[in-house]
Amino acid sequence: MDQVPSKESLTKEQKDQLFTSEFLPCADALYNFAFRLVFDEAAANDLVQETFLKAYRFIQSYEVGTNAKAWLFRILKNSFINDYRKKSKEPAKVDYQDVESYYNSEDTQVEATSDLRVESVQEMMGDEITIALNSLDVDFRTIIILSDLEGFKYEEMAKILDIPIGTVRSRLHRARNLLKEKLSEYARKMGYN
Amino acid sequence: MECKDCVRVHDLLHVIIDDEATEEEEKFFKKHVDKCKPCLEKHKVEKSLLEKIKTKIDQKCCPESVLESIKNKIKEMPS
Repeated sequence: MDQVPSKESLTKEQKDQLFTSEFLPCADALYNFAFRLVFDEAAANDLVQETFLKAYRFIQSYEVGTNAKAWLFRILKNSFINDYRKKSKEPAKVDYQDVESYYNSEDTQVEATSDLRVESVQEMMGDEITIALNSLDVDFRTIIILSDLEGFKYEEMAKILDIPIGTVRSRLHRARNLLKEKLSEYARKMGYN
Repeated sequence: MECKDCVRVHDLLHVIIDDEATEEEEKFFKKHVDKCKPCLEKHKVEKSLLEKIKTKIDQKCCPESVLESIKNKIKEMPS
């Protein structure tokens, strides 16, 4: 990394080059994330555009050679919370911190018992998994997208979401159990189980 | 037939498939599922579900027009 100029001295040309080589390749992943948050193409387009423009504006604070994808995902997540969620007229939601502490507390060893079997999972085509994933509340949906679709590690997700690793772990656990509950309901209806 | 070890293994199911378990957790897990069929089955369900999510959920691509618009806006940004 000895060729990297000090950040303040980045010329317009260097910024553009950095943007093109490190940020733009993440466009598809960012769009996919945005779309799964808002379920609307126009809104996803806006969110991705806003993310890239912010990234460019704050390019000085990006450390070259670090995880550009995680950095961009964090900007997109914050943009989503700041403007999209505020605008939307969704009814008040459950406080997930409460849900999490309930499921984390030592004396409530609540284990969601799903009767989902390997065979049933293997029968599934994908549509039912997409529908089940989309039906999860946004915080649970987000953690599954980051982990299972995008392959982020727990530590990266903690940074993207601004939560402790322990919360990443428990939220993912809870999210997957909810997903399994939905899928086993589906499997029962279809007579797989 | 669930015991204390099964409960601990249930807690570890996700860190195991995510490759985020500590060495000690992994050892404990392997030793347990070697002799506990229901836990092994649970592990297999998690693994196959993860595989399904990875391969069967269609990934959206960023529309070309959005990319173009971003590139144009960046060009016009001051240095």
